Amino acid sequence: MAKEGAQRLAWRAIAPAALAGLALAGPAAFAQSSLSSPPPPAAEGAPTPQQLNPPPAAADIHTVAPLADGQWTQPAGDYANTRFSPLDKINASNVGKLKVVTTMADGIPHGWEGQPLVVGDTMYAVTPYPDKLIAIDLKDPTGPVKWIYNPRPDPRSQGKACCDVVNRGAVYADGKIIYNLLDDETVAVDAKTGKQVWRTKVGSVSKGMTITMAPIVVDGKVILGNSGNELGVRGWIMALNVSDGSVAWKAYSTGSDKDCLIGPHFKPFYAKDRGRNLGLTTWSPGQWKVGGGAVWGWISYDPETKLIYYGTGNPGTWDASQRPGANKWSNTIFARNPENGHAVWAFQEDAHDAWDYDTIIENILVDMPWHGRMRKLLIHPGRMGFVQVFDRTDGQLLSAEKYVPVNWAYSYSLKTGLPKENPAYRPHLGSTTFNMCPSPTGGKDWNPSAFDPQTGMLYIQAHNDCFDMTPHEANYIAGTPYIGANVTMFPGPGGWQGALIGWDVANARPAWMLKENKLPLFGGVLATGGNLVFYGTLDGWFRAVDAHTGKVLWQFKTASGIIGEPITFLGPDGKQYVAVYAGVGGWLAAAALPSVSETDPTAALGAVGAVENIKKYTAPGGVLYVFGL
Amino acid sequence: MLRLMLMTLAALIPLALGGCSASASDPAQADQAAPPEAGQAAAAQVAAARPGQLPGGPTQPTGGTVPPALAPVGPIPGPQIAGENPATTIQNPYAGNPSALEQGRQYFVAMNCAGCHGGHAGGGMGPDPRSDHIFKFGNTPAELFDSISMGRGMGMPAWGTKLPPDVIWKLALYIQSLGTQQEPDKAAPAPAHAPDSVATPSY
Repeated sequence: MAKEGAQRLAWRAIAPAALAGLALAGPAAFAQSSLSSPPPPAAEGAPTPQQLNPPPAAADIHTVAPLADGQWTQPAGDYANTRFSPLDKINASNVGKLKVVTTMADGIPHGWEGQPLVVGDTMYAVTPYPDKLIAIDLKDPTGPVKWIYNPRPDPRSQGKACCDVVNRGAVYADGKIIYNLLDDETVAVDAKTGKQVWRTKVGSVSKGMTITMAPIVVDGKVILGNSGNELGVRGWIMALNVSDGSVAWKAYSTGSDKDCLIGPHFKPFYAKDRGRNLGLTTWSPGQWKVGGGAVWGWISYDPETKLIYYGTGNPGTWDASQRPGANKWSNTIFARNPENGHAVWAFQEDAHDAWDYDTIIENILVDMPWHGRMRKLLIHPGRMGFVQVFDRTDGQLLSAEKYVPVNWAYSYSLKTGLPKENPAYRPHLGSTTFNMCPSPTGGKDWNPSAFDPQTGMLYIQAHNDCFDMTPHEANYIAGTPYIGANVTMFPGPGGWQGALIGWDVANARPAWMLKENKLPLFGGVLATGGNLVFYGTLDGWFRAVDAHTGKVLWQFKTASGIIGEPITFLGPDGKQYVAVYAGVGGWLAAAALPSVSETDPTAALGAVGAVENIKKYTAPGGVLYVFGL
Repeated sequence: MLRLMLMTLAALIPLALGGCSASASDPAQADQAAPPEAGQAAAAQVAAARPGQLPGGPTQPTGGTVPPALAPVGPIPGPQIAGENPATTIQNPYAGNPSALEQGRQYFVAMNCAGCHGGHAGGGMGPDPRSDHIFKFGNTPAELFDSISMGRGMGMPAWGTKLPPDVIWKLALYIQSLGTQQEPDKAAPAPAHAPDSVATPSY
């Protein structure tokens, strides 16, 4: 994979007005174009996007190591985490005819996050716990199973996963499918035979640790991180050798500079992130050992800067009074050298976090003009409600604009990198703070956005929820929750709960929003060369929308709410397909699970109030769908 | 740090089943437990009372002494069966004790039960004892005590090595009060939505 990394491909972002042949009915500006063929109709019964601003102008946009061959071999498709595929056989003119080609149930009543892989003529799906790996033969249109690898993880891990027993997928490298198990193991499985090649134990469920994230592979190393910020774990990221699963390096998110692999090459852009041993000195004594900062989200890699980029999770406990200090390096974006793990820069989003705003959200790597000159950008649509744009070579913050209702902070200072907080919305021990926005699940959570280099737009699956919080003192008992707060979430202001947002990166504003009023959104997004954006809703609609305008061109009702991430690929027959998991669950949609009662708004760490009626609309049970023309 | 140390100590103390029958037959003794507002103190008391024991699996004896044989506790607890005499069951030593019930609620929050089972026992990481009145392992006082103290296979930790028996009895009392008039500190409903004025932007 890494060898392909150095490829570069340039895309010219095209304003909709220039796309006469593809122009669609919608805002007046677009309708002026003379149409060579009638615009495809909007899907019947689908919501209508709200046009907010003119779309971005044409620009030269380069993506890092773009997808080239119609496969989907790593979690986000590409190293840059754009989730953009140039495939265009399915496009606005024919997407209305998209239909189900095959389906497969996973038989598991839990959330199916993540995405399948496609390598050659085989699709690989990882299920939620018990984390089975299923190989599906794409040569046969009915998609029969080639083999199933059953790793039989420790069942106790089910009781340690904060937010459903999910798995966010696998990566392909060197003839192996490599992924993490809930019980803190990483496995490599022969992609042809389904036989286990190696298996490495990297953590302990008895300490409350689990792993849910999808690893990536860079130059012969598998890079992965742990979960468990709600159970007092100490976060880390590590690299295993692809050849045999042995440990190459490990960098903690808390503790000494030595433990955090912070040394002479570490040059944070802002003074707030400079100093010796901040992972120790920004905590009360010993608290860093149970301080969180787990690395449970997506990892990006730029083969040109030769750096990986990722974020760390929230500090524990949620009750901030138990951990005076900035609590580094929780809620921090790191750039590291994948060879040895050494940190190059870091940016802590919010010192002494009090809202559970994990920084594990994807970081999208794009080269594009920024205020007149070409820059290497890192785009971070964060849980704290801002879309941030950084220079990824040095960690300078170039922009931070709200994409959902936010009140914990007014803005970010580009000079100091610090948020300007509103003290009225910082919770304190001994009282309840009301109406903080966004909720701990964020403006969006782990569910990844997509970036289309043709439009210059980022497509964000946002949700609009706020919350009340009553911190209380928590007692650390190994392997049990270490949270220290009662939280109640509820729908945010404005009468909408979720939205697919077409975000104009260059102008840092939304071009359009496609709103959901019943339920939030909690799945991933795919953008394609066919000027289409695919996404799914919590009540099970899977949609294709026009990338320029957000107009819904096609939709299909799946068997369960969608929290998975769509992918697209070329089958062995040369045709383009789109695949997605349906299967509701996860944190925000936990109230859909039978084990969670809607009568307790603090259930599922407070998520219930945000989706109170979800059991009316959907029930768990995973199904893989493959669509084609 | 002190709290960490105490809790770690507490977690290392294996607690024989004999401990709970002693407590069951002697509520007065259990009443001497530390007040709930100092949960860590309760754990510390156990730690002090049983010093010097080594970490091990929850059921592994650490020394050479064999625990004394337990007297049979009677019929297996369970629901009343029509036509049969009522079974003799172990009662919660705190049954009908409102302050113990209140303490049970406080332990539920302070000892991390809420993190898994919901702030008001509506579920989450763990099952929902509030509306799910059909407990897989039974809902009599003794069965609840066993489920809490021994743990269960889906991830419920064995609290018998982490909390003293009187705390577990009070937790069982709180669980049995859910959804009844006696339930302490009932959940307030979530607001319908946030006021439109609280946050920006509002597209």
